Amino acid sequence: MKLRISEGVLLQFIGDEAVVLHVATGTYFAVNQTGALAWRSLVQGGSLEDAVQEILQVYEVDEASLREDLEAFANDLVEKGLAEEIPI
Amino acid sequence: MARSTRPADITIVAHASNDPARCPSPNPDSGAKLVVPGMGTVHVLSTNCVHVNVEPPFALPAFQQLTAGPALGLLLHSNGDSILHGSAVSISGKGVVILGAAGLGKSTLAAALRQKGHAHVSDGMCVIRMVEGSARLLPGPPFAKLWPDSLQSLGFDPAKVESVFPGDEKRLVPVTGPVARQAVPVHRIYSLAFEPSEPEPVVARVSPAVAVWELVRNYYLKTHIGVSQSSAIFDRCVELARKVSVSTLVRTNDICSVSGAASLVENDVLD
Repeated sequence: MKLRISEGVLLQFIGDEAVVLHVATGTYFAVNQTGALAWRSLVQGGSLEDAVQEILQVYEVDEASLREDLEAFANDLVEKGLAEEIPI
Repeated sequence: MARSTRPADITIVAHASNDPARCPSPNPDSGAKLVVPGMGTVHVLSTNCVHVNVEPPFALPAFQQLTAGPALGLLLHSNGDSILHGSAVSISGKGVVILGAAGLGKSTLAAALRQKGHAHVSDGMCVIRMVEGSARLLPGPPFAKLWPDSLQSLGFDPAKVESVFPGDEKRLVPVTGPVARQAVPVHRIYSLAFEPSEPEPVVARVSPAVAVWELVRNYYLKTHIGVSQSSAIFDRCVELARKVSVSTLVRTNDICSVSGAASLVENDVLD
């Protein structure tokens, strides 16, 4: 799965976190360190698998659980209109 | 009175919207603009020229309100400054910004800090300019706008202080103590919050992500400026949150807790 930030969504990385503003609705999101790592990897052209490998380099976590969590995270971003899935 | 021969730093073009022939509307697609319902619109024409259009019937107080606040704020925003809705003082040369929704006591807390001998920087609008990577707070006019009960709590008689504008409940209080004449570094930003269950005021640092939100939601006239400026506002708030410590200042909405909050801020800044 690959993502791009939706139009009208502003994203910035600050410290270990990411902050997102959905301009049309004025909704604001803050994403923790893991989410920020995942998002950075995804929007910089990486696939979901790239994000998994990047996070595994930083954290010692179960790979299968991480993959499941990231997939849920990515689907959540798409559902909220913050990102769009693009063809690999 | 002799007229200054020095060119104006800022030009304000004013007209009533029912007289377009005298002042044709600026290009609607260029420059930032904001609409203040019931008062009029402000449109930035260039780096030093702003167009103020008062809704008919033209009223001088409405024009004064638009130019003193929104017009100047929008012009400075267009020129790259960050404009926050708050009050500011300088505590031993350290800029302290107090943010919060209307009625939470920004001006009152700033006035309480001035009573402790700290210098006034601005009231109602805090202008922050990045200078060589550092956030600098620019001084504003030496006036504060306070509600009558706040004035009374600070030992003043509201009846002896004129209103901000005719018919306005708020009073325009000239600052008589120390006033900052030059920009000061921004040291702390406090976002006021109200929690009736708290017995005493509490200061708590927030994470950078929360800091960005506090700055965005307290950006001056954000709701009037329009979505075209959202990206600029967001980016500036992120930059500011990277440079400056932001805290929430939780207090009860009891006017007597203001002095406690002022002491808390003072100690937090000077520690």
